[in-house]
Amino acid sequence: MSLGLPAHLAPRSEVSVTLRASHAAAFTCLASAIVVALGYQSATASGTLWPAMLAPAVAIVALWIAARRDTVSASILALVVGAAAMAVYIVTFASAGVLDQDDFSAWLPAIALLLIGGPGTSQLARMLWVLLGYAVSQLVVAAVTLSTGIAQRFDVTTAIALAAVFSIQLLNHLLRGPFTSAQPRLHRATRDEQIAILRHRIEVRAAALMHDTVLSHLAALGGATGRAVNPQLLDQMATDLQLLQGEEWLDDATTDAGPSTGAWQQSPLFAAIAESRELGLEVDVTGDLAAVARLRRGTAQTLALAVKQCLVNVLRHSGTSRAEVVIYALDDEVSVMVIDAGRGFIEADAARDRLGIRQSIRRRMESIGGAVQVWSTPGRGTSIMLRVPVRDSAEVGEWTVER
Amino acid sequence: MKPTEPTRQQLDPIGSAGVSTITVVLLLCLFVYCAVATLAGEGHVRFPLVTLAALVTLAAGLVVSMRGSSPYRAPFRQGRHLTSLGLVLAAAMLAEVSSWGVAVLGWQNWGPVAVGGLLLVLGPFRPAKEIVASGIVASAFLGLLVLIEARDNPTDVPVIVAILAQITPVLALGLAGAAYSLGVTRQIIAWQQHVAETNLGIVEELREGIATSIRHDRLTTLDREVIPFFARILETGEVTDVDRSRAREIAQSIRAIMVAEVDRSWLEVMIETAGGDGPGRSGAAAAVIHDPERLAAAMFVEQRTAVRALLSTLRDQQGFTRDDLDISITADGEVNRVEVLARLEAGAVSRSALAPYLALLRSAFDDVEMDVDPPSLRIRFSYEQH
Repeated sequence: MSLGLPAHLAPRSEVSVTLRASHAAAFTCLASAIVVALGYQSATASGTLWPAMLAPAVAIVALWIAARRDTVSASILALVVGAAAMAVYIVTFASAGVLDQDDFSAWLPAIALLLIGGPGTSQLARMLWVLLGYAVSQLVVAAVTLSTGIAQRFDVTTAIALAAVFSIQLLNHLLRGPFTSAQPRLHRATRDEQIAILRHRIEVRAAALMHDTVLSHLAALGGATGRAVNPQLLDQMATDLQLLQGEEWLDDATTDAGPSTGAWQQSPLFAAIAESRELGLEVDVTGDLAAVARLRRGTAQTLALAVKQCLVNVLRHSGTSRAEVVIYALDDEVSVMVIDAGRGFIEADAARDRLGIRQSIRRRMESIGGAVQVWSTPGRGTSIMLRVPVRDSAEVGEWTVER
Repeated sequence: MKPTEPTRQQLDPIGSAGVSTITVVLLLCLFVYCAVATLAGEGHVRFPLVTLAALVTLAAGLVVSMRGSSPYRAPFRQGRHLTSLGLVLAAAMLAEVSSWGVAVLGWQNWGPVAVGGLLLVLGPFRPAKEIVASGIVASAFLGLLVLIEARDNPTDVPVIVAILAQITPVLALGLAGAAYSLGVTRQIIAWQQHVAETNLGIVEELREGIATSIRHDRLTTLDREVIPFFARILETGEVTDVDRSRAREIAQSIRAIMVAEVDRSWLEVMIETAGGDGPGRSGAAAAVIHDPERLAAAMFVEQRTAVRALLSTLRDQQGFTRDDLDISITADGEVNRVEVLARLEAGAVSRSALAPYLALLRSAFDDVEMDVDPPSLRIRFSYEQH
């Protein structure tokens, strides 16, 4: 999904993320300040620079608390601690005789100060926090100069950093949102797509049921010899009519939860095979029968309907009355293979208006995240492999590719 | 299509379309800073030509990123990042060489700031891990350069301080860019999960209504012929020759309807139910969509959503109808190519107004191209067959 933050959340998000980014830079400056002090300490034998190592470390702790708490008091505390750390840093460097030896180290605690920031989502509040940080750093310089007589050059680097932070904030504020109106449209498209997926899934189920019931009976009636209708067919017609007129037949099978609990004899697959036997097909079932109990109820039902359609096809088109059903189980999927030694066919040559394999088997399996493979050679029989995942089929459904 | 990376631009192509302008302005500011710093530090320069080469290389590196940030070229991939970073690092090296032997540690030492600034503006475009890795490699390179320089030209400043002066801007700005990238992608992903859950709830509420409407459609078809026919057969328990041929006829007509429905793609359903001038013009989709090989079905959910959003934008234009739209999908070797042609009222939609949708298409498809030549608009894109 390519959905971005909505207009009412985006500014708040932008503020919290840019604050986090400036904290990352502040932490780096303070850490660098500690290592710089270490560097000078190792180079100067006389001076004592450990306070210049300790002070930024304390400022890091205060900054960490401010970043975690995101309150006015925590930010003020971080500013106060940062200011004290900066003063200690400058005085320590001056007393060790290394202040202004480079044009770099003294600005590290000052830049950290203006990057502390604070809570508040308005542009003004954010700029004021930065300005406050800068003002505090300049006050520290003035105070140190007044109290100790240590004079410092004008700090160009910190001034540039202030200008950079201001520019980034202003640009973000002025140029951010010209495209936010497109966001709700994408939002709607995302929802429409989910509804279309659901609708498609129910339609596939409806079409497959129509095929298995109405079309199947019409075909049986159309091809019936003799006047009297087979009583089993009449029973099946009566049951299916009730089913079609009832309320439940389109319940979206992929959203029901919980694994099916019954053993093999209670499984929908067992029932589907029993029904095929009643129609006159001899079916041998082998393999890991207990594995079907691992399937979720909706998945097990859909698999059973697809297997039933395979068996009906054997009876109608293969020219044999024997079929074999083999069940294999892997960790994450269950496979059912329906094999017959009938006359076979070429799938691509099957009439374009023949819906059986396309609708009742292939689409049905795809609607639950499963797959179908057909191996058939004219004159040598047909094997159809149906594979279904042993996992939450609702999760699969969203990514199922329509074919 | 390459997999989506955890970047703001790829997770939120629409919202990131505006970031491009900010990026361009920031990179221009960065260049101005470097140029001013060069002028201010003129006294340190030993090789003016090298300084010039440094600025030219820097400009080239920044232009790569400026161009890359455009929504018309989205997404900003790793190749562009590395090319841009390589050029800016080369510029930093040239800047260092131009004042070789003179320790420039303050703000006039613009090389590290340029490298760090680039990494900072990459925040919306590249994953945090990649930015951190770039920062570390760039710091190591620049640090090594200073180490070599300091060995030949000893100064009062300890080497470690000289190295830190070089790498601190890179690390500070680079980590800021990485923190931005990480924070913003986390927030977007959390929001997307929230929306997905909310939508699931809404869809669940609609489920019953959808099932009822589909059931009603089916029963309407059955009520006309099948149910009375079955009822009569059930009552008598007998079939005549007339019944047999009637059964075949009904089966044939139901099968024809079902085949047509099964073959209808999501795109056709969408155009028919949400066309420019209201629903109900059945068959209109066939005039609009040319997809003889049913290739629309092979698009992923993400891709369908992008197409949906684009078409809904076009549909909402003043005076736009389905007759102004023409979509064709053709197979070309391993990929399927889509061409959307639309006629819009002159001045109705500008190229920039479509930029966010183009960025969205770019995040979902390959080879996305758009030509606006009022009143016609042509958008092409492709996706892999699977």
